[in-house]
Amino acid sequence: MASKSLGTKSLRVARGVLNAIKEVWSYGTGKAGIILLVLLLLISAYASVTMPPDFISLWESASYWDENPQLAPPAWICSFGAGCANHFIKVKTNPDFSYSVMSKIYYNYTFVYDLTGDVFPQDLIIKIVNLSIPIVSQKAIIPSVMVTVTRPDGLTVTVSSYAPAGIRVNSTSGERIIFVGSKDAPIRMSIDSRALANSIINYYNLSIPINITGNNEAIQMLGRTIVINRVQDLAQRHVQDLLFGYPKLTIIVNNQTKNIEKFTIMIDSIINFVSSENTEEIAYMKNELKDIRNELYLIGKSNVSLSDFVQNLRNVQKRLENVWKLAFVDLLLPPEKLNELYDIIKYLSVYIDQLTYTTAFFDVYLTTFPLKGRYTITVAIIYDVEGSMEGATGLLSSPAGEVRVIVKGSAYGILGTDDLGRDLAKLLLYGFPIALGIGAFAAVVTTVIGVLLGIISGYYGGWVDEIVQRTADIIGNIPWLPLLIIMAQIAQQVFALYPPATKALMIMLTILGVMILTGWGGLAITIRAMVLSIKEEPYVEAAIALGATHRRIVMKHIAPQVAIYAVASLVSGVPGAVLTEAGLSVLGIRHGWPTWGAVLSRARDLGRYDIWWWILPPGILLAITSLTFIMLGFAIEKIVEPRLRTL
Amino acid sequence: MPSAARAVIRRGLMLLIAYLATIVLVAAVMEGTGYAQKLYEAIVRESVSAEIQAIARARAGQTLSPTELEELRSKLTFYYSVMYGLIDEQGNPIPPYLRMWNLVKNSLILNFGYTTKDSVAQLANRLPPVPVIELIASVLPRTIIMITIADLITVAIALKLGPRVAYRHGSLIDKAVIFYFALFNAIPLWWFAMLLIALFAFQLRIFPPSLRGVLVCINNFWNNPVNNFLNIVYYATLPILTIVIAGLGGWLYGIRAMVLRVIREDFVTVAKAKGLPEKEITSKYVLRVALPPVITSVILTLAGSLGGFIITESIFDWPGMGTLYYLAITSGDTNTVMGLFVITVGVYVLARFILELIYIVLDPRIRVR
Repeated sequence: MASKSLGTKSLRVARGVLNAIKEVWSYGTGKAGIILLVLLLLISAYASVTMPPDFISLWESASYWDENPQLAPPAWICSFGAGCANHFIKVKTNPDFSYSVMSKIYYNYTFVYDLTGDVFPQDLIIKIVNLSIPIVSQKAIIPSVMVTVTRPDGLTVTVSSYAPAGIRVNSTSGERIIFVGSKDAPIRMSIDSRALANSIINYYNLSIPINITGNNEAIQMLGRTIVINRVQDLAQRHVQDLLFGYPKLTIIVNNQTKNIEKFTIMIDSIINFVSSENTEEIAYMKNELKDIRNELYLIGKSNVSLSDFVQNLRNVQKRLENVWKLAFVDLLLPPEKLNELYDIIKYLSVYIDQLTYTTAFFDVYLTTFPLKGRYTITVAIIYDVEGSMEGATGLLSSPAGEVRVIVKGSAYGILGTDDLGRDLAKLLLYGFPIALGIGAFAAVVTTVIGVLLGIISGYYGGWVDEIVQRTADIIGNIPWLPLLIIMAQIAQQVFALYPPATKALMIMLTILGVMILTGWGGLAITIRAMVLSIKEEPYVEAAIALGATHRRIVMKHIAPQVAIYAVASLVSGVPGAVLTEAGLSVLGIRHGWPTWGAVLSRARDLGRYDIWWWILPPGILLAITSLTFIMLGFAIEKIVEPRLRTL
Repeated sequence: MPSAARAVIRRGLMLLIAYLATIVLVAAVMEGTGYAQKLYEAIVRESVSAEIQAIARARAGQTLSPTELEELRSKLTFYYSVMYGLIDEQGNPIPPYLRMWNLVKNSLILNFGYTTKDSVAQLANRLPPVPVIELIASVLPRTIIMITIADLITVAIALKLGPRVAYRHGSLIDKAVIFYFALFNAIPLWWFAMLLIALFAFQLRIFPPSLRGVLVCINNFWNNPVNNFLNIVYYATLPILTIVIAGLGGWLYGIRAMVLRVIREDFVTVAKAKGLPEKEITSKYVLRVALPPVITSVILTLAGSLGGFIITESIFDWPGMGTLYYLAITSGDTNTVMGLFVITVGVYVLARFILELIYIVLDPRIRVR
C-alpha cells in the first residue's frame, strides 16, 4: 500500500512539474529560456566529461600552453582579411626513414608545413621526448640531433643541433639503454640564430653594392659587418621573421654636403684673414687654400663610392697638412690661425675615421617578407656506432619516444589565445559547468534556507518569528559586495599555503557562503507573508479542526502554494551568483578556477581591452547565461502573478 | 509628524544595527580563523626590526652586543605585542574572542593602520606609509561625485522618457524598453565598460584607455582650474556614459511599471476627463504617486549597483574606491581592504538612510500616517 501511495504521489508531482514546464513553454520568453537552458546543460555535461582531471591546477601555468601561439586571434578570421599563418603541430613516434653511411646511422623525421598566408608564423618549436642512448659494451653511444629546414626558395638551413652531454654509464647496473628528456621536460631544440643569419646572408648574397662601398677592402669589410649585424640582430629578436621570410636590404646613402660645408666655412675664415698681406709666399698659400676649398666643395657635391670619397678626403687632408707645414715653418700665419688650421686637419681626420668605421655614409635597413610555400622540417637523429654496429642496429627501431614539431600560427582555434597562449575556447568550455555549478549551488541553498525559515517563521510565529524576521531585516541592510570582498580576501590569505585545488575550493566556498548568508533574507520575508495569509484560509482551519498534524498542513496546504514562488526565486537567483563571481575575479580575487571571470580578469590585469577575442566571448557567455535565467524568471513570474499577464 | 519621526528613528536604528553586526561578524571571522593574529604578529615583527635598525643607526659606531640585542628585541616585541593587543601587561596571551572587540573598536574609530604598498599610496599622490583613513578620505569623494552625477543624469532622462513609454504601452518602443532592461540586467556593467573602452579608446581613440592620467589634473587642480576641470570632464565622460547607458534600462522599466499602475487609477481618468494637458497629468498626478515606490526599488538595488560601480570604476582605472579596492586586493594590502570595507558599508548605510528620508519627504502618505 505504502509503495502505491508513494507511486501516485510522485506521479502527481511529476505531472505537476510537467504542467509547469508546459506553461512556461507557452510564453515566448519561457520557450527561449528553456531552449537555452537545455543547451547550457548539454554543453556543461560535455565539458565536465572531457575536462582533463588536473586542468584546475594546470590551466594557469604558462608551460602547459607553451605549444600555442600567444595573443593569436581565432583561426576563422583568416578567411576574411589578409590570411594567416596556420598553426601546425605534429607528433611522430617513428622515423620516416633511416639509413647508414660509413659508421653513422641516420634516423630522419620529416614534417611538412605549408605557409599560405602573407603573415609570419609566431615560432618554430622542436621537442624530443625520450631520446634513446644505447649502451654497447659498457659504452654509451651518444647521438646528435640535427634540425634542418628546407624553404620554398630552395634554401636548406641547419637551424639547430644538439648532443646530450654528461651521460655517465653505470657499469654495474647493466642497463642497455638510457633515455634523455622525459615527457614533462622534453629536450627543446633551440634555434641557432647566428647560423640561420649566415645562411640567409650567403643565400641571398646580402651585401652593400660595390658602387656604394667602392674597392677599398677595409670599407667593404665595414659593409659586410653592418649587414651581418643587421641580420643577426633580427634573427635574435624575431627568428621567425628570418626563418619564414625573405629579406630585403634597403641602403640609403646619406648626403655629405652639409658635413663638407662645415670644413669649407672654416677654411674660408682663414682665407679671409690672410687677404690683406701680399708677399709671394702668402699669395701662394692663399691660392692653395682656395684651391683646396674648391676641391672640398666639389667632393661634397660629388656622387662617388665611399672608397673614392674617403680617398679624395685623404688627398685634401694631405694638401692641408702641407699648407700647415709651410705656414708653420715660414711663420705665414699668427699662432691662433695656425691652430685653427691644425684643428681643421684634426676634424677632417676624425670625419674620415667616422666614415670608415661607422654607418655615417649609408643607412642600412633590413626588412623581411613572409615567404609563402612549403617548408620541410627534418629532424635527424644520428648515432656514430664505430664498429659496434651490429649491437646498436638491433636496439633501435625508434630512437626517440616522440618528436614534436610545432609551428605557432598567427591564428589559433575557434576563439584564439591569450597572452600565455591559453586556448580560450577550452577555458571557456570548461567554464560552463563551473558557472552553472556556482549559480545553481548558491541559488538552491539560498532558496532552501529562505523557504524553510520563511515557513517556520510564518507558521510557528512567536519568538521564532521575531528572531528570523529581525535577522532578515538586518541582512537586508548589509551591502553584500564589500562583505564578499573582505571575506574572499581573508580566505585568500588563510588558505594561501594549501594545495591549489583545496585552496580554490575553499575560497570558492567562502564566496558562495557569503552570497548565501546575505541572500536568504528577502525570500524569507516574502514566504512568511504568504504562509501567514494561507494559514488564515478556511480550508486550513478546517484541516486543523479535523486534527491534521503540522506536518500534514505544511506539506499538503502550504508547501505546494509556496513551491512555485520558491522556484521563481531559485531561477532568478542563479545569474546573480555567476555574475558576482565574475565581478570578484575582475576586481582581483584569485580563486584558481577557470571561470569566465578569471579569463577576463587577466585581460583586465594587463589592460588589454583591445583584444576583442579575449574580451567579447566570456562576457557574451555570462550575458547569455544570465539572460537564460532572466527569461525563465519572466515566464515563471507570469504564472506566479497572473496580474502580470495583462501588463 | 511624530509617526514619521518614529519611522525615521526605527529605520536608522535598524541600519545602525546592521552596520555594527557586519563589522562584528568580520572581526569575528578575522580573529576566529587566526588571520588577524598572523597579521598582527607580522606588524609586530616589522615594527621591532625597524626600531632596532633605527637604534643601531643612531648609535653609529658602537655596535650592540648579541646579548644586548636579544634583550632589546624581546623588550620591543613585548611592547608592541601589548600595543597591538596580542598579550596583556603580564605577558599572558589575550584570547581571540576578547581581541575581537579591539578590532571592532578600531574599526568604529576608523583606525585601520597604515598602508605600506607603493601602488596603493600612489592613488592619493603620497609615499607610504600612509594612514588608510587618509587614503580613503582623498579617494572617496571622487567616487561619490562620479556616481552622483551619473545617477542624476540617468534619473533626469528616465523621468523624461519613462512616462511616455508607459503611455505607449504595448508599442514597439515599449517592447524595446523591456528588452533593453532585460539585456542590461544580464550584461555585467563592468564588462560593458570593457567593451566601451575597447570601442572608444582603442578603436576610435576618442577617449583615453586608462583614466589614471586624471590624477595629474586632480593633484594640480588649482594651477589651472579651467583647463584641469575640462580635462577631468573629458576623462570622466566615458565612465559616466557607461553607467548612464547601463543604468537607464532599470530606471525606465521601473518608472514605466509604476506609471502603468497609477495610470489606471480613477483620479488620473478624472484628470484626463477634465482635459488637462498630458504634461501636467504626468508631473502632478502620475509621477507624484509613482515616484516613491520607484525610489524604494532603487534603494533596494543600490546594494547591487554600488558593487557594480566599484568594479566598473576599477576597470576604468578611475582613481576612486574601485581602483583602490583593486590595488589593495591584488597587492595583498589587508589594512586597506579592511578600511575600505568599513567605509563602504558605512557609506552604503548612510546613503540608504538619506534616501529613506527623501522617501518620507516625497510621499505625503507616510508623513501623515
